[in-house]
Amino acid sequence: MYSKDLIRGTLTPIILRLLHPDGKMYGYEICQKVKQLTDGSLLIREGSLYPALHRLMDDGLIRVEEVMIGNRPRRYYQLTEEGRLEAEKRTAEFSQFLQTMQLFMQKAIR
Amino acid sequence: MVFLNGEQVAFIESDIRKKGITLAGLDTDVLDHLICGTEHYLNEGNPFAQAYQLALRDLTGDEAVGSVQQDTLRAVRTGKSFYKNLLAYVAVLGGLIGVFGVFAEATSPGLILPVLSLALFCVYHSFFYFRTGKNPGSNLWWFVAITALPVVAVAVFLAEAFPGFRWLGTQGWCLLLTAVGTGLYYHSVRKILAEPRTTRQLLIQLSRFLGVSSLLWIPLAAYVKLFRPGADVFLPRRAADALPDRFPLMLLLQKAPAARLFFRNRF
Repeated sequence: MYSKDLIRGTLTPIILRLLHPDGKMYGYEICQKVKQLTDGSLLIREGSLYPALHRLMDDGLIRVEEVMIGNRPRRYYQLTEEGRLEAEKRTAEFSQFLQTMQLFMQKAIR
Repeated sequence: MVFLNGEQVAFIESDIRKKGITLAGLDTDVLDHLICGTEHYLNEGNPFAQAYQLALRDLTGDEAVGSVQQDTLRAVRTGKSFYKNLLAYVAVLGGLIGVFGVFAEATSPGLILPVLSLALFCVYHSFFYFRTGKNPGSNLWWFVAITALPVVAVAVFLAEAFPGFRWLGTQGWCLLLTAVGTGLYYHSVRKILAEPRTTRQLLIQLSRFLGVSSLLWIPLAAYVKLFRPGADVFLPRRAADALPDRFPLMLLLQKAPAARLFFRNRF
């Protein structure tokens, strides 16, 4: 389990990466996927997921599709064309950031 | 596999509404999330009431469920996108300052614009600080853009108070300030062109760039147009007559048809 300070700022890249390139997921599924992919070591605060999703929708990076599950609707999120470009950019930026941090940590230890 | 029945779903739907989740779209998200969470805990053998409480705890921890809606509204309404567009708002305000001047009589040189622009500057800084807890000066571009109004105000004051600053002329000042704006935004423009962008993103970036440039000259042009119509405040006739002798390039420009049209009122 990582601290809030470390997790802050990673939510948007995580969402964009999970939906990239043609993913279609609903909120609960995103939370479960993150838990599954990180063996439970990265637990995003579920309440902060929806503001982030709505913000991305407001920015035009994702769009929503409602699908009926029995008698009730479920909202699936997917990337727009603009969102795909942004996801590629953010993923590359994030990978570069991780490499830089790794390099920094290695050099700082010496 | 245990699923919620209609009555239990109706209970959750009613409960989240009571807890303040009323935003269209978000209510569907939260309802679906809590149903999935509750079903998960039901399948672990918990009774419905406990399963629902556990799902609520997963959603917001110790905070009230209504905080999800508040956070969502905050993220959408006052998020980054607001500040992205703020430059355009300020540019429009700059123009409005000039329009406002139509109803005022300027009896002393350059007082209204400096006062209003400094007021805007202070309001913006305060608003930004209390809203985000950060100093707008930490972002160089915003700092430059918002500082531009007082800079223009000082330019107006200098041009009116000291004849030595008048030789540029109104258009000259506008062009110079636009060039400064372009220069300030040069790195951003280069970055925009280097990266793959959609048409929408390019248009947004272009509007921001124009916002910076226009922010620099709109107040100046509006001020001269509205407060000093035909008064030759920035370029007295004598200075205009003397310009071609001092600046051969200006003489060359005057010969061109487009330049003649541009400088028609000035020379």
